[in-house]
Amino acid sequence: MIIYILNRLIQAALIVWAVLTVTFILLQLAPGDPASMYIRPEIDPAIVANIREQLGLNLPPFQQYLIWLKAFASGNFGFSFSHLRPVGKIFAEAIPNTMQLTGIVLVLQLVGGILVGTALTVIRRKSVRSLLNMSVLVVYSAPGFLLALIALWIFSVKLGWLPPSHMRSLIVDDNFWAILADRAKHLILPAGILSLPSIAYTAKIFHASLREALAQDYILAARAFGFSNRKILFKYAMRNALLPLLSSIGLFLPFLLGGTVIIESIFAWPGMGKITVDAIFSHDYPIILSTTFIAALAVVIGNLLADLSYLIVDPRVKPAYES
Amino acid sequence: MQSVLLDIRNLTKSYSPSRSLLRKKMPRAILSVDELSLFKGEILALVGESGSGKTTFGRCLLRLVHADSGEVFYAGDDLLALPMRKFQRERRKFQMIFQDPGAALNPRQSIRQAIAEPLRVHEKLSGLALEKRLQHIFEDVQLPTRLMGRFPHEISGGQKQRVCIARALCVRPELIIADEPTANLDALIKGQILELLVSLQKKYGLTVLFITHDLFAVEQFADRIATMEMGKIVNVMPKKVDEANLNVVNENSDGILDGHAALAAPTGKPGPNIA
Repeated sequence: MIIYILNRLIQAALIVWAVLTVTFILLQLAPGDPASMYIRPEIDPAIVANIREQLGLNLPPFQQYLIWLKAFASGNFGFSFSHLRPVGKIFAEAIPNTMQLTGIVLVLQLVGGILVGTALTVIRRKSVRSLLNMSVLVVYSAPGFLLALIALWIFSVKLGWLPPSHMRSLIVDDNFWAILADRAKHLILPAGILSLPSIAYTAKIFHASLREALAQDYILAARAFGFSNRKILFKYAMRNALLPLLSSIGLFLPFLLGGTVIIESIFAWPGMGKITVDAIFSHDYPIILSTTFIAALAVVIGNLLADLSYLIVDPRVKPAYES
Repeated sequence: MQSVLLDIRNLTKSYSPSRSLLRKKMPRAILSVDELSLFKGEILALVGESGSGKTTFGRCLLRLVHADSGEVFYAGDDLLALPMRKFQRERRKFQMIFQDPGAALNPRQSIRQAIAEPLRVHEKLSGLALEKRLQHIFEDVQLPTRLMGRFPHEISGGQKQRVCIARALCVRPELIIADEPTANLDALIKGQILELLVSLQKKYGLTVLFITHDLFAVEQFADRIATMEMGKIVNVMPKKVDEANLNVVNENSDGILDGHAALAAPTGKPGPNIA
């Protein structure tokens, strides 16, 4: 078991390194560099050249790569060109914000997905089921930014119920409940919009695996004993159908992170997604590389956790790594 | 022995394929059984080609598949017409053993849980009484009690089928529908399972509807043999399989028992297991 986990961790490190190297190469290939932000008619080209030299951008790419890799390996994420602060400090503020958002989305996604997936399976009336199925497909295929803009227009602009952006109001009463309510109000739109496609996706997966479980002979055997439908659904079918869902939680992470990039930008949520987008526009290499690093790490660890959770929950998987 | 357990009349079932844009599909009749009686304490073998409707027939009797029309009389009641709530209470009396014992056991339930659950629901057993009963059942199917805590994937195919038999028998049923119970087992285990099934059938006076392809088993254990073809029972004949009866079958059933005749006729002894 320990050897298995170690083995997977080494693989994970290699994958993260490969992702970072590819990102580095892509950045070098992209037109422009951080110093080009300063190029304006009124600025002396000598100053720009000077900035370039200070940032080490005049060195050959491979040498830049080595310097950066060495710093990165020693835990030094670098200094942001655009924020003029160490990347580590920026992340220390942004990561909790993103985790707050994605954590709530993950919970909504699982609860909502299981509920909707079960409804898709057990609703008898075909017209209702088709309608639900269609809505799920529409939500799943609609681009997140479109849903976000529609929701903003309805709930913030027309009805004025919910704040359109940011994590909190500037002025709030200084008591716990007022602060909590203010935070929750700001969360509803971004978390809701980010979780909608995920709920649809989860519902689809769960619906499929629930149907598969319900077609098994052990369900027939349970029915032959006259067990109640509720017992058969919850105790026999759902418990078995949850396994594939559990293993795919780790695989949701890339979608979630991808989603936060767009949703955080639209709702001005000060998290990793927004920082990434801003960094790309300002050619902020250290931040781009570091957010890529965090994203790659999250995906790889998510996958690892998914595999490990399988080992714990489903006893049948064990022989796979023992042999 | 000739008292009737189940009296089946005009049982029909057809599947309507899902509507297609390009062509109209007609409902396809797959079951149409005019009359068949199951006697108390007999083993009635139901043979027939794959897809002839044997499994659907068995499932219709237990209302696991909804029959289109027909009656199944048990002790004066039409089982198919009973309100579901009432029928649920009767279900214990009619149990099923499946072809693939691996699929018939919930992978998330230990052997003990799988057998204890019906006992809790139907006989309200718990504690020591439940434990005693489990012991007894394990003895009946010749399984060591140390397997109780295991999960289905941790025991062999033959053991799984024994667990399935134990689970079906634990609620003291009157009828067992055994749907090719040995099709997924190797020859040696097959014999053991069949012998176990028959010895338990004798011990408890069970009625068994034995759906099978295994003509050797039919010859060995069946009291009567019903042949199904395209959803119809084309022939029912008594246990004694002599030349005359085989000829009747051959004329009627388009050779389902041909192989059996060829193997059994020259020596007069049961042929090798050909299923």
